[in-house]
Amino acid sequence: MSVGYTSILWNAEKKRYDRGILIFVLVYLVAFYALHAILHPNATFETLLIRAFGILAFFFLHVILVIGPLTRLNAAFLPLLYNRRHLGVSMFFIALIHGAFSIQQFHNLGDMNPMRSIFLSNMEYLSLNQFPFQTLGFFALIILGLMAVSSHDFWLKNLGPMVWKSLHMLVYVAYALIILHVVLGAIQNEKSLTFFAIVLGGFTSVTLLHLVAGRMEKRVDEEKPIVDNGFVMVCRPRELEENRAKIIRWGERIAVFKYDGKLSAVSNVCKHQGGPLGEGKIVDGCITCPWHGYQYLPGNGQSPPPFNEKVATYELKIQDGYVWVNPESKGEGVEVEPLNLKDYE
Amino acid sequence: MSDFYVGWSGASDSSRRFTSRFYYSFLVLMFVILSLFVWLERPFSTATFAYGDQVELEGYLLEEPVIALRIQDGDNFEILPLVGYGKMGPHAALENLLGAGNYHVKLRGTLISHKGKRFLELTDGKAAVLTSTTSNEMSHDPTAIGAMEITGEIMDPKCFFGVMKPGYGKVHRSCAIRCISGQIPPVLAIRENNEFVDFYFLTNMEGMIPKEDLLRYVGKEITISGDAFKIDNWKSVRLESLEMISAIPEIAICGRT
Repeated sequence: MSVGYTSILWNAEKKRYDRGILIFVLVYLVAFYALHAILHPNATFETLLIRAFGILAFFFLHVILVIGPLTRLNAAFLPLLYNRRHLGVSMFFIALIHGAFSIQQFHNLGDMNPMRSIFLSNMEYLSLNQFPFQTLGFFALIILGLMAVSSHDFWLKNLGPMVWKSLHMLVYVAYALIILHVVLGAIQNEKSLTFFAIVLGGFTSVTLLHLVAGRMEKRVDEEKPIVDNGFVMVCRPRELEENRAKIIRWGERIAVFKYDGKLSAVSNVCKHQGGPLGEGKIVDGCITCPWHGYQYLPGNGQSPPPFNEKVATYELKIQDGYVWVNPESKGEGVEVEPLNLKDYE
Repeated sequence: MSDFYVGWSGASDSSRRFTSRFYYSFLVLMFVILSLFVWLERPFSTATFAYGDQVELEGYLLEEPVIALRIQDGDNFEILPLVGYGKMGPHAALENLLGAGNYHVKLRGTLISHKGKRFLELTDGKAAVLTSTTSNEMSHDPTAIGAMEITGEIMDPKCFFGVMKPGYGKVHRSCAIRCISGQIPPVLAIRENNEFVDFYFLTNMEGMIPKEDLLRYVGKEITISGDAFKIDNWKSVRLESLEMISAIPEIAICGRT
C-alpha cells in the first residue's frame, strides 16, 4: 500500500514472481536460438532477435490478458494476479526490443527519418492485404509504454483509480492492434496455415475466458434482491461463511462480511485497483482484498495506520431472521457499529 | 496458513504447488508453440553478407544499366553492382567519378553474394575509392535479348542478395522501398516453383533507374514488358512505359494466394 514514488515494496512473493519471469525469458531465448541453430543455421542474428522478442511479447500479452478472467473463475489463480504489473512491464520491454530493432532494420539508414518512414514508406492504407502493418505495432507499443510507465502506485494515486483504470483498459486496444499487426504482417511471410491457427487459438482463448468470467459476474448482478422500507435483503446470518462475505448489488455492489460473531458491510470496490473486496477474507481482523492484499477495518472501512485508503460503509439490520442492508452509503471511512449476532440469538 | 492468498504474507504450500503447475504448463506450452514455429518457419536463404570482412577489388566503373564494377578474371568478366552504406546507393562514395568519363578503379567494400551473383557495399565515406585512373579500354555494350513480358517481384537487391533474410515480400516491403528510394537499383526477381531463379535490373528508356514511379510496386508481384539486354552475368529490362505494369492479385491468409 504505497503512496510515494520511492521504490517497489518488495516481498518474497514479488521476488519469486520476478524470478519466474526472468527464468521463463532465459529458457525461452535459449530454446529459440538453439532450435534455430539446428533447423535454420542460415538465419541472421538480427532477424532472429526481432522474431524472438516479438513472439515472446505476444505470448506474454496473452498470459497477462487471461490472468484476470482466470482469477474470477478460480481464486487459486490469484498468485498470478498479485504481481501482474511486473509481467506487464517486462512484456513492454520485450516488445520494445522487438520494435526498436525492427525500426533499425527496416527503416533506419535510409533517405528518410526512420519515424517518418514507418508511416510513409508503405502508403497502402486503403488495402487490407498491403496495409502498412508496422504502424499498428508502433501504436500498440506506445500504449504499452504508457501503461508501463504509469503502472506504479504513484500514478494510480495521482491519476485516480478511474483515469488509471481507463488508461490500463487500453490494453485491449493494444491487443487488437497487435493481432492485426501479426495477421497483416509477419504471418504473411509464412506458408503454413498453422501460424494463423495459433494466432486464432490465442485470440479465441482470451475472448472465451473474458466472456465466461463476465457472464458469471452478470449472474450476480442480475439477482433481484427483495427491498423493504429502503433496506435490501441479503440472506440469513447462518448462510454467511465466517470471515467471508456475500456480495449484493443495489446500484453499487456491497460486501456484507461475517466475523467474530459480528456483521459489517462495506463497498465491494477496493480503492487500490478496484478489486472485489467481497471475494476477499477477514485476515488479522481486516477485510483483505484478494487482488493485492489491501486491507480495511470492517467497522469503519479505513485502512489500518499508516495507510489512509477508505471505502464506503453501510448500515445493517436483522429483521424476521434475515440480514438487511441500507444501500445508502454512510460515506467513506465512516464508523458504523457492527451488528452483533448474539443480540439476535 | 489459510488457502486464501495474500501476496505480502506468502502463499500456502497448496497454492504454491498450484502456481508451479500452471507455470510449468505454460513453459511447456511455450516450448510446443516455439517448436511448431521453428519447424514450419519458411527456410532462410543461403545468401551471405561478409560483414566485417572488407575486400579490395579492381575493375572498370560502369554507370549503366546500374553503377557497377566490371572485373576481369582471364577471359571472363563479372559485373558487381555497387551499393552504399545502409539503404543508400553508391553515389556519395563515387561522387567525383560519376558522369566524369571512364575510370579504372580500385574499390574497398564488403561483398554480398547469393545465387552466383555478387554485390559490393562500398565502405562508408571517401575511403571506398582507393585508386582511380581514366581509361578508354573498356567495352561493355550490352547485348539485346529482345522484347519480353515477364512477371516477378520488384525488390531491392542489396537486402535480397545477402543483407536481410527475408529480403523480399510484404514484411520487407518498407525496407525495400527505402532502399530503392535511396538509389539502390531495383531488380525484378522471377519466381519458379517458389524459388527466385532469374533477375533483371529495371531501367527506363533512357537507361536510368525509374525509382519514383516504381516505389508503389515494390514488394509485389507484377508483370512488366520492355526490351531486355544482357551484360556479362546480369540482365536488364528497359521499361517501355509504366502503364505497362500491372499488379497481380495479392496474398490473403498466411501468404497463400
